[in-house]
Amino acid sequence: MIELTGIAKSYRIGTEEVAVLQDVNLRVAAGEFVALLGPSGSGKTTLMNIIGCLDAPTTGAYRLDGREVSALSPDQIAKVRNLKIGFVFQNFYLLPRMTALRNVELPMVYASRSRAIRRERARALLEQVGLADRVSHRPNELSGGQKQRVAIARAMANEPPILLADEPTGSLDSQTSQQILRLIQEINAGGTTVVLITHDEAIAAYARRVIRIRDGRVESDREVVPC
Amino acid sequence: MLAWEMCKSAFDSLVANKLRSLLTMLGIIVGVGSIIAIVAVGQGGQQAIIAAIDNPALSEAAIIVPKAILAGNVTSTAGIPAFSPADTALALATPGVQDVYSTPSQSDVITAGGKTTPVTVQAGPSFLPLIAQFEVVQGRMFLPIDSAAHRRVIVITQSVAKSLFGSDSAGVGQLVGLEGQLFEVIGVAKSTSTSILSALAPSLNVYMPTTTFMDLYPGTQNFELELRVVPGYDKNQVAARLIAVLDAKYHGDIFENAAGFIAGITNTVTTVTGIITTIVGAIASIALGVGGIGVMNIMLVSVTERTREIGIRISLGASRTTILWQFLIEAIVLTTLGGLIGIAIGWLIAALASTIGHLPSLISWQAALGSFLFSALVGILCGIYPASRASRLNPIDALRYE
Repeated sequence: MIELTGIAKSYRIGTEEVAVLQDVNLRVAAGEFVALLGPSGSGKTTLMNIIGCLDAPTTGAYRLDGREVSALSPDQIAKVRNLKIGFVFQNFYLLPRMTALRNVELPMVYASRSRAIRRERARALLEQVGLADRVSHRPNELSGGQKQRVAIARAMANEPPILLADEPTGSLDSQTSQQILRLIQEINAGGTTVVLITHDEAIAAYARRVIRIRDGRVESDREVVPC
Repeated sequence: MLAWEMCKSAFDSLVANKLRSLLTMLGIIVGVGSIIAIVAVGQGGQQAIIAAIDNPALSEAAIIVPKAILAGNVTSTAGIPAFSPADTALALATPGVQDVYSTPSQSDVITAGGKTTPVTVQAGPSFLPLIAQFEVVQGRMFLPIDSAAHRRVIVITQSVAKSLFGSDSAGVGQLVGLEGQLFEVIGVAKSTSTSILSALAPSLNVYMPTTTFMDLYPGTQNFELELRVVPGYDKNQVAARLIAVLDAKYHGDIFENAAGFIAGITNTVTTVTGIITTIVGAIASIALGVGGIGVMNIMLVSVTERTREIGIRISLGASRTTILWQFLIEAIVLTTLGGLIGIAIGWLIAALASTIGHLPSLISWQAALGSFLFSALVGILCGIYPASRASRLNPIDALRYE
């Protein structure tokens, strides 16, 4: 499903070229739960941005569902983000002026779903993440855990095959973190491929496969024996 | 459907910043409002001026006048031929002519019971009310028989009645003095003119038969020959034929039909007031332009402020085109809403100007539609740059933006 071959990414800072990723080769099959584990500055977020089609690699090939992403037009890439990928961020990134329901509806607005379908599906999703009674609350009326649940519901709005979670528990306490990770596990159990980015071994342990990133390279890649 | 969602989202974000949106719209509101008000007052004024110039006598009659008189810069009437009774007879003999009359006037002072009032003595035929736009509300108008008999009867306007007899309905049957002679008041007249000028300055007029007038002011030279034509004849054609005859008699290209002359003036007035309205409107549209710059400024601020939001939307699958439209629609909603409020306020100002300031105003739907479209255009022009900036944001930088 996700196929990265010889991916490198470098930024120019002043006159210096800084390599963030070097020769990353990675394959993620449909339905996997993968953790990208690495310290800050290791390039894991850049890798996620490339997987999420928010960024393009400097060199290398990225095939998503068998299609080379660099060959897609900007509008096609927007469509890929809309329909194939759900994002969950550390800082939730909910739109502050919209209610939870409207936030969850937004990806479906961009997918041109009818209003009635949007409403119904957004409600069902919020119910699934345990927020049936918070539908018309705005983000500032929600706790951190609740915000992340809304964000997860929003990420799943168009039933994307891939969920990308960038430090989804980075702003949460340990108990809430656990609940959120369980939720992500449930989503994975439902067939969605999950890529979880974290710097925390304990969180990476929720995944079934852990890929360690260090200095922009894949350091190790192994299956986790479920405990 | 996406368009509807974007309009809604544009409204939401404008409502979220009420004060800012209102202040931004203010420029557009002032611009559109002043254009609407100026154009309304300009067009209303133009119509009023034309109504005042456009002598209703002309729809009734053709008026033949020496060109030199029409030209206006007459210091002496020497050398200008005055119409004689023979000319009147000539006119009456012209085919198609029904009546020939003249309406000379003279400034004088009228006295009654020790009171005096300056007046304009206006002579004319029995159908003068039609030409001079008045109706006799007390007593009666003088008749052809009064004219034939050179009777010393007059009709006075209400303002003359008021200053001589203390009431604008008094005076019928009273005797008044003019040039040391006694006249009987047989009627009181009320103006029927709808022109604002007549409302502002009520006329102090005394109307009498032309024959009586000639007796009273024997030296009066008549430079005007007015014709009523037999129904079915074109008055301008009849007048042209008579002018040819008169020109031949007086050896020269001397006479003119005043109708054509006045049509010329009317055209000039239309052109001049049109130019003035355009110039003042153009000045007002500077306000609209400044308002547009305000919109652009606030949209740029808004794009910067909402950089994170734009990043989020892109990550959720919004295309660059969608982002572009979102901000463009926001700018258009801002300016057209401002435009609509401006039209309403301009309308109100024009209405107030006509009720309080007695300025006639004429609000045209063309001006309203034009300003609405223009404000939408300002929205597009001033929104396109901020919107394209928003759409070109790098999603990663946008998401990281604090």
